[in-house]
Amino acid sequence: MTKPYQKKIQRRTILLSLFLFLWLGGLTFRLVQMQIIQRTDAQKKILAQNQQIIDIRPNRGTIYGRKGNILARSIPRKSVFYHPFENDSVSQQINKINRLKNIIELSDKDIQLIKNRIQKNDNFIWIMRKIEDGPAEKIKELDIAGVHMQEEKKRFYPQGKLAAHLLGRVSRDDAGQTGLELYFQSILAGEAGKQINFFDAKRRKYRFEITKEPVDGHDIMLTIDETIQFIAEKELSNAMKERHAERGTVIISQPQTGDILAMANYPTFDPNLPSSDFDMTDRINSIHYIYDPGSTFKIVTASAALEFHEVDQNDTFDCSAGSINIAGKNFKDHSHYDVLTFPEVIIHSSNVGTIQVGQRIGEKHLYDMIKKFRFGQRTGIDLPMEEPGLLWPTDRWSKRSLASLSIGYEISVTPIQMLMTLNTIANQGMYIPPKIVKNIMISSNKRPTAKEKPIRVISEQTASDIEAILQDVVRFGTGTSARINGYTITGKTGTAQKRDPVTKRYMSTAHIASFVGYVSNNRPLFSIIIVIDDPKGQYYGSQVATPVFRAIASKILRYYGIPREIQPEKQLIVAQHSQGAAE
Amino acid sequence: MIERQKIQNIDWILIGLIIINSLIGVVVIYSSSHYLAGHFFLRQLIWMIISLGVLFILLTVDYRFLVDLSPYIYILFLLLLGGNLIFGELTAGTKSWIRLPFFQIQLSEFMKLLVILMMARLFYKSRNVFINFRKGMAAILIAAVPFCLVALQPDPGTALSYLIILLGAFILAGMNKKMIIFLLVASVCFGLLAWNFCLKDYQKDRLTAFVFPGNDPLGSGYQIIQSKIAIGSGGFLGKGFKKGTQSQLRFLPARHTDFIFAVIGEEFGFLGILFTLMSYVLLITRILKSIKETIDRAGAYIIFLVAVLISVQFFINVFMTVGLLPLTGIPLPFLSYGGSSLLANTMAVALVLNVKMRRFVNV
Repeated sequence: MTKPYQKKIQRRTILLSLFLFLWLGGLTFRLVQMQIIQRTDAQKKILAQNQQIIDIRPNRGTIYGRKGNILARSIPRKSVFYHPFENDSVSQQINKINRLKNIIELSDKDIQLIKNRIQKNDNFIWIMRKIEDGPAEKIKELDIAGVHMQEEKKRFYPQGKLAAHLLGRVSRDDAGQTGLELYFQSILAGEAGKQINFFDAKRRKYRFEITKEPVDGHDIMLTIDETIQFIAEKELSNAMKERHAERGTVIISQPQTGDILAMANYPTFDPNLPSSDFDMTDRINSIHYIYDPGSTFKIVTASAALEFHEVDQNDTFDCSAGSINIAGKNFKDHSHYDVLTFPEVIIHSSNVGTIQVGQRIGEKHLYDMIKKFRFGQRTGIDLPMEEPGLLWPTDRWSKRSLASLSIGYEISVTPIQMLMTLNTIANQGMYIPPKIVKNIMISSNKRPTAKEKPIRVISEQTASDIEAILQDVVRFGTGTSARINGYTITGKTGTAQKRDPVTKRYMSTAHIASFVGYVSNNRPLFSIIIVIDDPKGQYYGSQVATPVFRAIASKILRYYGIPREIQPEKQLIVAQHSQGAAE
Repeated sequence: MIERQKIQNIDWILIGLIIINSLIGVVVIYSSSHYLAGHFFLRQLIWMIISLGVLFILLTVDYRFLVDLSPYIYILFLLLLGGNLIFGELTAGTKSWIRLPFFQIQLSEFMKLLVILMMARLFYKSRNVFINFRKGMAAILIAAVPFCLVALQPDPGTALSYLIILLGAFILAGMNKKMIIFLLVASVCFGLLAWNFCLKDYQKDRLTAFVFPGNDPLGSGYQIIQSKIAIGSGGFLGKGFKKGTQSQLRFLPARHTDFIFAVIGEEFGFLGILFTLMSYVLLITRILKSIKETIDRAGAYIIFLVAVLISVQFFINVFMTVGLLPLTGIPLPFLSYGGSSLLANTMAVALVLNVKMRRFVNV
């Protein structure tokens, strides 16, 4: 029994049902779109807002000196970062950051940068990195939503400026930028780990998960002796200040092993202080600085003369003219000599005599000998960006090149190359490559660095003849101010005119003073090279560099506690010889 | 006393369906609030039992008596709403709640029932194919007065539900073309007036955020975005009970109330939502089917309007969580946390049962 109004109601009900089913269909369609088609999108968005993957920095390897002192290490420091809270307005968020101003030094510029990144919806914003423990504690107490701290490692150099150039610097992200930090980056760095932080809607970290453990970097032990490095730096710095010189370097090595005991460079810096960018002070002059060696290079000329038997020990050279003209250029001596024997030419460092020796040797033999001493190529020391120096092949030599080269011009060398040349004499003609790393400690096994084999450069006989001559240089030649009573010193002074960086011509007003020598008792103990760029006032190597050698060598001898070996009477005889003036 | 025949006529399946829906609500409320103080799921469970009790009490009273009585209660409630608006205290930024010794109550929820009963009373003797002007204006008045009072609380969501009932009544009573055009023009004018004079800034923000959610992801769009990615990330099977990061980590706003559907989507996935939809579809179709079994117009109006009320609230809420409608603050019937809402919706179904069980009784 259906009443008429019931029919109407039923029609309306069906209409309503249709509508509802239409909506239901639309809803289902929407849900399929959201939950099945765009599912991964939504999941990504969720991960972006409640998870954050960060690196766990590994411990960077420690750098030790050969005596076991720590030269560079990493210490834990807290870094403050901001994880933006999306419910807050930008100004609310900036107010939070401003609350930190009393604790850490945030400039208006820093705040502005942070603000820009908040506006860009960055998920992770550094506020300040590697802050001290005190402020870190205070920030933790404030417990500001979104402000978090993460442990990072700060590179610390406990010895301050000591060996600063060698050690180098790291970036804020712990990447080596200069020096050993750069050269051994892969060994020191280790591998970063991964950590996932989980955040709730109020940006509180409620959990974290380490997905990859960090692998710590390996430690390195240097051949550098901390005490000797200190002595070298101190004496170099004194000399530099006294002479108002621009740059300078001192390298000290153990000739038999090639171990570098010290490498001092000036000017220097404190690696613990922040530096915005690199400057010249970061350069390791010992391996980066190239110069014309001048007279110290006569060691090579003399070696060639004896090795190729072009000159006999007793041959004499007439130096009475005081100058020699080669292809239109006058090469002068700084003092007047008569006829000199071959050893006397070297002992008094006569340019006129050495050039005549050079003429006898000839281009080919001199060039070969220079090559054998490995000039023009890197020594291969474990430091970044070593300079190879510059040696022209003979076909590009001019008519006066032979003369120039025999007295150490027209060639660019690094201090380390020059020291290696002297070490070759000390090692009876064997070239032993320089070493700065003693050990790389991989796990507990100490793995020594790969060693290059010694190479014979000149015969033992030649080496010992040259050694004798160079000992006389110190006894009564140009190097007398290097003398230390009771010890045998072998060495050679050098004074070279600097080249004008613009015109490339040699200047008579700027010089490079150097001395290279070693101390021995029966066997060579240590060798030193001192190079001082542009000393003011006195500029001869014998006046500027040689006293530094003496000061350093006597301190090292006291430090090593090595007794005198030479009889006092012998010294008296030596002392009677007058000092040679020219080099 | 109820006669045995009437008890036999009680639609137990319908009661079963509202219990299922309410229980889904309790489970999801537990998942989305177990870490908060206040035992929300337990309170909801107690409210569910109270609601069922009230349901059976309501069945003992003949709905026709209720329809006759409705004007008095309606006026009483209007007075209470008005009084509360003047003297009431703010709770959570609105004057929606009346504080009683042990709980708070939202009068506006029960006003929905009274509006339905009033509509039934207004139209149940009408024999016209279309509404006449007088009745139309009266119906508008019945809905508009509580609408204004509740909108001022402010609780625009609940207020909106009175207009839904009004629309339902108009549909059932029948509208001629003139009426339809009049209503369309009136609603556009009303919308413009509301935008310029009544809506608060946050409500305008919600509307603009709905149209351009990406414009302001940190402000009003936040809730919509969080809700959408919660549902989307649930995928087909969901993340599992108490495992939804959006709700557990509190990214999702109003998790146990207005956005409970998003929690279902996240933790139980597409399948869970389908299950919830199914139980709703069964509930609504069961109610709509009962319309054939009425013996008078009043009963038909009650059933039709209850179906409209529950289903439209459901769709508005769900469309809001999936980003198809702006935020309005309408809870999901039976599922969202809230004693008044649950009780009022259960009572609405009680009215349907009441009508249905008295279908064979002769007047």
